[in-house]
Amino acid sequence: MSTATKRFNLQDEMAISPLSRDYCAYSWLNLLDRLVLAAVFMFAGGLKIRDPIDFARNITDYDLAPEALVPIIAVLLPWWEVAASALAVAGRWKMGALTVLTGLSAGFFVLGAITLARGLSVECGCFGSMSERVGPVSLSVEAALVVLGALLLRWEIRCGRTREVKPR
Amino acid sequence: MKPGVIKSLVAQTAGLLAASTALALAVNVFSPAGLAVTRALTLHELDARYVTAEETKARHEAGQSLFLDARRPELFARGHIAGAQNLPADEFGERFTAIAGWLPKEAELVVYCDSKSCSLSRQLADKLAEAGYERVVIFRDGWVAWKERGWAAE
Repeated sequence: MSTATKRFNLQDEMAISPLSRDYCAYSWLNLLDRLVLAAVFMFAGGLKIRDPIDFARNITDYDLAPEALVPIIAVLLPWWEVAASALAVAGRWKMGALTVLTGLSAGFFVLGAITLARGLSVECGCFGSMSERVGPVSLSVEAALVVLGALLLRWEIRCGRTREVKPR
Repeated sequence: MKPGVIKSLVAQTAGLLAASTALALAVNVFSPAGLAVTRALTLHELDARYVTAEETKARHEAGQSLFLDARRPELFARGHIAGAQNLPADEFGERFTAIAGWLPKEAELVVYCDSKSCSLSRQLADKLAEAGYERVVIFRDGWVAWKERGWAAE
């Protein structure tokens, strides 16, 4: 297969319009956003890894997870945050990393909303002992992270492979 | 979305979660701060300062401990453990100055808030520890559990 045909097929497969190409040209913005999202989760996960019992206490405060599951959540979740952040920065498995980060943000947002609706006064546990209480501020931060993660994931799905294709 | 994209998205997500789960469990085994992941944590493991409802009642009956309610004044006014003083965690700075004079450093302090879904008692306990009170315990189940049992209240 000639290079020209190969290019054509790949473009055809990804259905890249000129508009998409413009959209995909902002890779520096994508990198910047990815670094911001990853930095937030890397910091949050790192603090929780350092003090898993403190994070376990935060989880029990929410009074939603069965007590038998609290330790395993406290051990696993921070590593998911850190591993996904590391991969997002390294540019490997970006779709998977962004899916995990967006999913975690969405989960935290829903958890915060339920907690507020129940009228509980709980430290969010997002950033270890530096955490704010669950409220409009922490919910807004989570919502912003969901939007950022979803936009990055969309960019990755639409443009992740287009860098292999040179517009003719 | 193309099936190929979905496939790689699922494969990458599953791979990432599997690899990080394995890493987390391995680190947890060798870490001094590791948790027992196959069972629920005991109250004491969660926080060495936590005491049960029964232990709290025994302290109340013995009359050797000072009870501090970490909730807001309006909640305290609606009902609290008999003999408890109100020291809201949110207003610690201003309220503590007023009571520090008669609150002996060597006293055992029992702090509580609404229930186990309330972190005010832990915040108050931390602030008291910073202020030099070394004998602080937390009645984790709080006012709700105390009231449900029909124990001495005001």
